[in-house]
Parts: sequence; C-alpha cells; structure tokens
Amino acid sequence: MQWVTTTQILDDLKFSDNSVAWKTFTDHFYPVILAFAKNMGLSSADAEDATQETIIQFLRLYRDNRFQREKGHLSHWIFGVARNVIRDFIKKRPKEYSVPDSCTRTSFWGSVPDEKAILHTWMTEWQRVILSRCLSRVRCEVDEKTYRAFNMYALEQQPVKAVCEELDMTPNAVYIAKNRVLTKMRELKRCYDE
Amino acid sequence: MECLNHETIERYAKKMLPQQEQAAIDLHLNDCPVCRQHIDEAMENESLLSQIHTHQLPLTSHTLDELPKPQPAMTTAQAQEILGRQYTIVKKIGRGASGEVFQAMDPALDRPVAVKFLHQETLARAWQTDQWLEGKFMSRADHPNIAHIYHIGQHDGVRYIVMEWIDGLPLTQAWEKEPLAKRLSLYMQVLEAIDTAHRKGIVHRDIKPSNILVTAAGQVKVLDFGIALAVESQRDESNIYRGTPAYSAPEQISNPEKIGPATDVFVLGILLYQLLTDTVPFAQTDSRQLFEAICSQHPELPSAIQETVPLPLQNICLKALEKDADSRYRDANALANDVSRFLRGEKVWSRPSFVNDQIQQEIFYHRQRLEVWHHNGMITEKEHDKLENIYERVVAPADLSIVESRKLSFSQVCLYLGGWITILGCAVLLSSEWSHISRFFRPIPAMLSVVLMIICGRYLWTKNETRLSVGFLATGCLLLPVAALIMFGHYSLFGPDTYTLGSESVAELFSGYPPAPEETVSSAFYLGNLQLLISAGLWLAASLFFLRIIRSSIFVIFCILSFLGLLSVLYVIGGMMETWIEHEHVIALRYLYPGVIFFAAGMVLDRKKMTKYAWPLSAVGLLLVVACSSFIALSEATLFFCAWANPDSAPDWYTKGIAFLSQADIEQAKAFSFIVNGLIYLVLAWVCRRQGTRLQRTLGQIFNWLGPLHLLVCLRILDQLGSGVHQDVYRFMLPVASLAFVFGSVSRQMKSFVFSGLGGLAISVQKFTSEYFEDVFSWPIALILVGFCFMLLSWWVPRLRASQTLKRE
Repeated sequence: MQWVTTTQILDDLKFSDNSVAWKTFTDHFYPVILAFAKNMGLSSADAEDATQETIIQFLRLYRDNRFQREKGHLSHWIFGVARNVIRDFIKKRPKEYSVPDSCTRTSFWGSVPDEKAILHTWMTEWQRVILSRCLSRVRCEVDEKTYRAFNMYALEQQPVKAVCEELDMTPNAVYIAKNRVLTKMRELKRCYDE
Repeated sequence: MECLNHETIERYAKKMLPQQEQAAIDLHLNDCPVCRQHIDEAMENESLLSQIHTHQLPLTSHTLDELPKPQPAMTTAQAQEILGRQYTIVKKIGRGASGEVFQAMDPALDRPVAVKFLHQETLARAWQTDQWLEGKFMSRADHPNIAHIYHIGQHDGVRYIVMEWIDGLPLTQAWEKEPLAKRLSLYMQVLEAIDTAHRKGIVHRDIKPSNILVTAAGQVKVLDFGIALAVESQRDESNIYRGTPAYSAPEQISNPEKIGPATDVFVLGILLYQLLTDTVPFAQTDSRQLFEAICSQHPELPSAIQETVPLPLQNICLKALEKDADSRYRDANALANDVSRFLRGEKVWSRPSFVNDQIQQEIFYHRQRLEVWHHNGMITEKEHDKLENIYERVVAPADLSIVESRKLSFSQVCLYLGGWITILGCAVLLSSEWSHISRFFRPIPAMLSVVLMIICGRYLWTKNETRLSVGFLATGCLLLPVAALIMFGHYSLFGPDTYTLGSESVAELFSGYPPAPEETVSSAFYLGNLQLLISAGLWLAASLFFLRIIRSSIFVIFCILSFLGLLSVLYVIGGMMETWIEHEHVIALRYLYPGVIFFAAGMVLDRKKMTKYAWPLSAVGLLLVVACSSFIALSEATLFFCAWANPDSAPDWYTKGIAFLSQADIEQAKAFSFIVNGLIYLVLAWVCRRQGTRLQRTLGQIFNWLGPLHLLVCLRILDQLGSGVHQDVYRFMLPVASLAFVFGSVSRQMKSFVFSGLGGLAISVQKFTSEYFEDVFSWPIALILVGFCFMLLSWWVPRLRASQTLKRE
C-alpha cells in the first residue's frame, strides 16, 4: 500500500486528469464520509450518493482555491461540506423514506441535526479510519514478531509474561516492540493531522 | 539513580508505580534528558494506544467480558439445609445478577418471607468485604416503599438475607391497563423510595420493573439493593459492569467512576419512557449494540410513539435520559419535583440540553436566510426585526439562574423577602418628613441602600452568582426612584415650588398628613412634577438596563410591583375607597349574575374547542366576577363597620338585620366575607386547574393569586375593626401569617402565597409605622438592615448546605 500525506494528495488533486490522486483521495475519505452519512440517518443508497456528492463538491471548491490550509484542518473542511450535503439530502427526501435502513428507533433524531453529536460522529469516524490506516501501514513496515508482540501486549492486553513465553522474547524486547510500533504510528498519524 | 530501564519506563507511563518510586524518578528526570525523552515518548505512545482502544473498541474490553457469568443453581434442598429449622423453604422464585431468591415461611411468626442467597463469586469478586452491604443499605433506607429486611445470616460461607415477602406484580405489568394518572401515582412512589435511598447516600444501580413490585393495595415496593453502592464510602473500586443491560446508564457501561444518584435518574427516565409509551427507549437485542445505543443514541421521541404523551412529561423524561450525567436531574428528588410540578398543573421548565442545541442550530440557519431575504427586499425591515426578536427569544431561552429563581426555595424566598423589606424601609423613609432629623442625613439611608444593592449585585455578577445578583440589582432598580424622590424632596433639588400634583406632598399621599402650611414649603418634604418625572425617568433607565440582563418573569414581577405602586397612588388620590363605600353592595350583585353567565359561557365554549370565542367571554366574566365579589366583600365589611360604629349611616334593613348579633359576632362576621371570598377563589382555582385547556389553567392561576390575598386582607379588616387585646392579636397575626405564607410556599412552590405574603407584610409595615413607630427614624433603618440580612442569608444558606454536603461526602 502506498503511503501518501494529505499535502501530497491535495497537491496531486489540483490537476483534474490525475486519476491516481483521485483514487487515493477517495480511498482515504470515502469510508469516513459514508459512515458519517449513515450515522446521520441516511439510507445506504442515499449515503453513497451523498458521499459522492460531498467529494465532488469538495474538489470543486478546492480547485476554486476556496480551501486554505492555514485556516483549518482538511478534516474540518470536508466535514463542513459533508454536513451541508447530507442536510440537503435529509431535507429533500420524501417523508416515507425518512426511516433509515436499520431501524434503531432513532429515526426522528436522524432527521434533526444535533451539531455536537454530528461533529463527534465525524471526528470519531475520522480518527477511526486514520488509526486503522496507520495500523495497517505500520504492520507492513515492522517485522512479524515485533507486530505480534505489540498486538498481544498492547492491543489484546495480555500479560507481558504470557507474551514472552509465546514469542520467546524478553520483557524488555516486548516493551521495545510496543514502543517501536506506536512511535511509527504517531509519525504516520501526524501526516494525516497536518 | 541509574537511568531507567524499559520496564520502569513502561510502568511509569502507565502510572503503575508506587508514589515514592515515582517521586524518585521525577527527581532523576529533572537531571537526565535522555530518560526524560524516553518517558515523554512512552507517554505519547500510551495516549495513542488509548485512542486505538477507544476508536476500535468503543466499549472497554472488560465491560462485556465481565458481565456476571452464570452460577450453578441452588436447589430447594440445599437452601433448606443452609436455613435449618428457622425458616421453611416453600419454593424457588428466581435468580438475579446478585443471587437466588426463595419463598419461605417463618414458623415462629407464621408469615411468608423471601430469602435471597448471594452468589459466592459476586461477593468474592465485587465487594471483598464482610459487611452485608445490601442488608445494611436496605435497613438504612427505611421507607414504606422499600422492602424490609428481617434477618441477615450466614451458613457454611453462604450468605443470605431474609426480607419482607411481597405478593405483587412487577411495575410495568401492574400499570399495563391503568390510565396515565394512576401510572404516575405509582411512579411517584418509586421516586419517593429512590429519593430516600439517595438521601442516605445509596445508589440502587439495578432499578428495573422486576425489582419494583406493586401490591394488591397499590403500594410500590422497591427490592434488590443487591448491587447498591454507597456513594459516601466509595467501596466499589472494581470497575466491573453491574446491572441489567437494558436498564443501564451510560456511565455504568463506560465510566464507572461517575456512578452516582444521576445513574439511577437515567434508569428512572427509562421507566418514565415505558410509562409513557409502553416500550423501552433502547430496544436493541445485541448487547454491544444496546450499550452503544445507550451511550451515544438519542431515543425516539415518546410523542412520536404515543401521540397523547403530555409534552412536559416528555421533556422530563428526555432530561432524565441525558447522556451526560451532569446534564440530568442530579437525583431522584429533583426528578420528583418536576413530575410533581406537572401533576399540580404548573409549568415544567426542564428541557433536554440536546433539544436546545438542535433548536439553536436550526434557528442559526433560519436567521442567515432572514438576512438574505431582508437584503434582497423580500421582507420589510419591520418584519425582519419582528422575526429576529422571536428567534432571539427562542435561541436564548431563560438561563439556568432564571429557571432557578422561578423555583421557590428557602434561599430564593429569603431573597424576595429581604429585597421587599428593604424597599418597605425606604418607602417608610419616603412617607414621613423626619423633621427632627438633620435634613442632610434624611436621604442617606435610602441612598446607601441603593449603592449597597448595586455594589453587591455587581460583585455577585462577577462571581457568576447570577440568581442572587439579579435579586440585588432588581432591588437596587426599584429603590433608585424612591431614593431619588427622598433626595429631591429633602435637598430641594429641581425646584421645590413647581409641584402641582394636587398640590399635595408625597408624605400626605401615603400617610394622610395634613398639607404643610405655605410658609414652611422651603423646609418641608415636598415634591413637584419635575422631580416625579426625573425619578420616573431614572426608573425607566434602570428598567431598561435591567431588561438587557434578563427577559423573564422577574422583570414581569418588577413591572407588576411598579404597577401596584401606581395603583396605590391612584387609590389614595382618586379616593376609590370612598366611592365604593358610598355604593350599596346590592348593586354589585346585579353585575355578579352576568359575570357568572359570561364566565360559564366561556368555559362551555372552551370545552367545545371554540377557544377563540371563549377567551373574551371568560375575560369579561372574570373581571365582573372578581370586581363584584371583591366589592361585595369590601362593602359588606364596611357596612358592618358602619352599622356598628354609627347605625345611622347604614341602611335600615341592614341595621335591623344585624341587631340580633352581638358585637363580637359582628366583628368576626366582618372578616367572613373576605375569608369566604378567598376560599371561593381558591376553589375556583382548583376547579379551573383541573381542566385541561390553556384558558382554564390561566383562569385558575388568576384565582390562585386572588385567594391568598383575600385571606390576608381579612386579618387587616379584623385589625381595623377590632379593639383592645383582639386588635393587637390581629395586628400581630398579619405579619406572622404573611411570613408563614412566604416560607410555607416553598414546599409546594405556591408563588401566589409568596407574593400575597409580601403584600400582607407591606400592609403590616404601614400599620406598624402609623401605630407604633411614627417619626421613629431607626424603624426604617432597621427595616433596611433586616432586609439586607435576609438577602445575605439567601447567599449564605446554599453555601452552608454545599459545605455540609461536602463534609458528609
């Protein structure tokens, strides 16, 4: 998997014929926006449409130089676009389709925006995707034993003694493995947060 | 100290080191930049790791894993063996999270009992203590709605609790076919029981319908304090999930440190939701989905499920179901207060915070569009301003301090009382000439009062004590024109010779002093039109300033008080009393009949949903009924008085009619008309409040305000007409009754009684001033000081209570 920073993606997107940049961008942001749209109460089909509409609108605005990096994070900018697009979808849809696919008996609140909850949902999805990508990426970059030690000790929270016995490592090596993986993840995550 | 190894760094970052060791490392870190860097990195890594756990595993891993695991069931024979001969097991009832329950008989007392055997594992893992927490807590929470504990025992390491046998149905089954009113009365009993527990520092933590039984007599019994947590002792440090998933609060799932009375409030909110809709708010069958829903999803609106749900109850329910424990009612008592307010037909102010947020967000967009419409000329400026004003009011609803000030508490009542007594003190200052006091000194107390009020108000404002600050500033605003008038009069500011308001002094208006001779004009206390206008201007400026701070009922009260002041001036100047006395009371009766007809017609139309026509009819009816009945009461009393004092002044038939009455009878009879009048109003208020429509409730409130005032006026009449010891008794009874009205109003939030009490107090002060303290300068000063002390008490009482609560915890 190719690792690119947000800055790289944005720079490449300046040119409309760069299909690789387009794919990278959608790979990165599509799942976040889709999950967000579903959480806002849209049905699966509407959520897909809203996600595509969000990406198109974002690109249009970006190419019109409306997004200025110094004025805020990319995530907040995309959030603003997504929120408005989804709001329009909610307003436009006919009443009989107002119940989302999985009826969790929260249909009313799905149709009424709660700004704090929306932002929280967005940030949660955003962080989840970023962390998941960083974790996948770092897995490719470290050796198998280091990652397993990290996985067992840090993620599964097994006692260090059990990890040592299982992987034939010293406790110090387990701690080093954990910190090595997490340090790499922090570096990767910083690229997204910029 | 040597440099840190990886294990130490790990334990330091996870904050697992003993305090002494950590302190030693901190010292080392000051000198060793390499170790400092390692530690910083390790701590950042820990922070990232916690983010991974949060985002990838929204529930902490132990939460689901450590749900109570099934225990091997206990047989009836085993249970009998443990109990021995003391109790005879009848049958097994069931098993719960903390133990198994059997029905047994107590042969000695020949009564059925319930025996609960606690799970061994639950005990060993959760409490690690020899204390019988459940028994201890339940015996502490002695309340008719909490199941009684008879005996606590132990046999071969198995612990059991013998408790009251309750033959009843679970709450939700018991209210299944009942109407809303009956359901609410059962719910109130639950609230009372849980409130008792909360007052004793107990959080139930496992409230659910099966733990609340309703007996055949309709009495609610709350059971199973099996996982109760004593707030004060903080014993429960195991952070293990306890409770029933569908009846859990968010903090029980993800933040056990925050478990407190508000945890029970959340579950009481779930019960209220069931009461209103017959369904639970979170119905997911999968535990993980259910926990996620409890932690992060808002439930469907009860009114969307059941159209007939009263909206105030819906707001109460949603407020109890707030995700953030701090946004909920703080305990069962606060919740019960709001439900009681609903039951009494009073306005419920609670609104769930997320509803406010959503409304604000929507209105933000509306206002943006409004600007565009205005800019494009689609709406006029006037329409724009009107809509803006409406939005402004909706976006910024009364803040918490205002809501708090509407609730009558001891502290709030002290604030009202203190402010009012201070104002009365200044009014006494205004109503006399004080010729024996230095002219320079006369206005000083009033001016000082204003300055003191404003300084205190400002100081409290900076300390975020908004409720108290508004009280002090409001009093300051009301005092300002009074103090200005006193100052103008005594210092002869703005022309003492320009007065033309009937050429009467203010002192004369209020206390009936004879007009001062012409030659003493320059030295006496006189006010003219210009001075009155300036003080009115000051009042207006102060009011506008005040209006900027608050926009709620306190300001309305402020205006009502000003209006009453104006009325009292008109009352004296216009001689309305004399006009009334001169008329025969029979004339009033002629107006009473159409009044009753109008009033009844309004009520009938209102019931027929023709509210548009009902309002004016009811208003006219109300005016006629109140005016006539008050007039009759007044003229009755006056005629009795006339007949007693001077038989010639009363009509012949009247004098003959009362000839058989003794003087004592007459005295008491004079007051009856007012008492009867007051009681009639209270009955009418009760009747109107029982009706469901807005019109009826409004009428009910008006009668509610008139009733208590009449009861106090009756004491004033008795004082005026009595003599000797009786007169003194009535004279002192009026302020005592007024104070009783003021403080007695707190328990049932009877605002009409507070303000009637304050009115009664004003009458008393006027009477005392004229009878005992005429020209006594220390009397108004004492009043001002007492008023100020009450206001300080209002500030001090909540702090004292808070410190006591802190000490207790």
